[in-house]
Amino acid sequence: MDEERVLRLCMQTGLLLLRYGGETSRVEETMAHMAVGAGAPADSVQSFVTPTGIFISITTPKGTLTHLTRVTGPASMNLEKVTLLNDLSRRLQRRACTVNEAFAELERIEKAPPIYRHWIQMTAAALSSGSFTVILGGTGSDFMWGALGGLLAQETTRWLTRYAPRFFSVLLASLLGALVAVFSSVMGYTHNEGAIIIGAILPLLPGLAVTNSIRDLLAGDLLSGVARGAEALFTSVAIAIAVAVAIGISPRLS
Amino acid sequence: MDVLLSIVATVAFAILYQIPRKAIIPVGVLGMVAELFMVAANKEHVGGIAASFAASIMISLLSEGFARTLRMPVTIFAVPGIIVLVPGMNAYQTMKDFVTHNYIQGIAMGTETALIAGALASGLVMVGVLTRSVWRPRRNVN
Repeated sequence: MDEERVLRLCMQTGLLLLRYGGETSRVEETMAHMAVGAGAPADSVQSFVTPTGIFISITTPKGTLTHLTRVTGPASMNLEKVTLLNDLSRRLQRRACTVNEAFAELERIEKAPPIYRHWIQMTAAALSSGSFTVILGGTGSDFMWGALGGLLAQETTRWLTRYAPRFFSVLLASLLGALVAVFSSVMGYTHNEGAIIIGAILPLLPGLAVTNSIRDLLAGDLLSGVARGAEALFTSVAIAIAVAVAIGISPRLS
Repeated sequence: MDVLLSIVATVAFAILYQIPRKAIIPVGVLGMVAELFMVAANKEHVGGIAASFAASIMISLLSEGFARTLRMPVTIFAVPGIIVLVPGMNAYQTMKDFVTHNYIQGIAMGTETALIAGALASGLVMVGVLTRSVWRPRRNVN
């Protein structure tokens, strides 16, 4: 067994899993399982994953080999790829594929385009925001305003996260989304400003961060759980501030 | 009508997270179940906190079930499934009260919002603990 190669495989998989939105506890387990599947003795592999860095070490009679990678750059949520990576590690674990095949598969998964293209995502953002607006008491025409706000919010974060910290991009995106609602109510198109605001900010809610944080805490990954929880909290605060600003200026305009 | 819309909202939200195509129908079912649950709770005058807790347990259990039968991570189902239950209107009302200087009302509403959010999280935690201890993944089977 080539330990160096196995470690690189585990590291690459872990990095991708983390970036696509897997829980850190899942990443840790997956990396350890993969190394064992590739032929390392069960107790010789240790992995430690945080949202900002991955450590893995493998102990052999020749000594201990350790890799450390910093996780940088914005995450791009892709739960389909998390599923594929999960399957890959399971296959390696039951020796249904070799390390070389795993490397090839890994590259294929990384290069694969997202299953839902950009315009489908935009439609989805608009549809979910619009539907949510109506569920919360909006009327048929409020659907359009909610959809517009949601679309604007989603596109803004998508574009901004590349250049700015997450807090700022969410703040600006939810402000824009909420301003759409304020505009429609100031112009007299609607009486359900609240429903439209909530619908518009729906795509920005840190659902995955909260769920991952809880699952990490349950798995005993205290460090990652708290870190993810803080991320979710910051995002929520950004949204709350944006909504407060929008509500605050709304009566001044009408 | 609301039920239909909640299915659309849930599935569309899930698509933002790029869920696998095979998971779309189960996620839609979760959205429907969540909305039906809240409608029923409203009709029976169950408090928002208790209803959210029960609904969250139900959604998490179903998510665990789907995850195991379809061999996919639980988050795919749990994240979009819970979105219909998020107390958006309460949170909005809280912010509105604070901005208009109705601090007492804001604190009351904020407390309720926090309790509902806590109930949702506790539901997730309860099911997570249960499935981790009872429903252990069988080794070497899969």
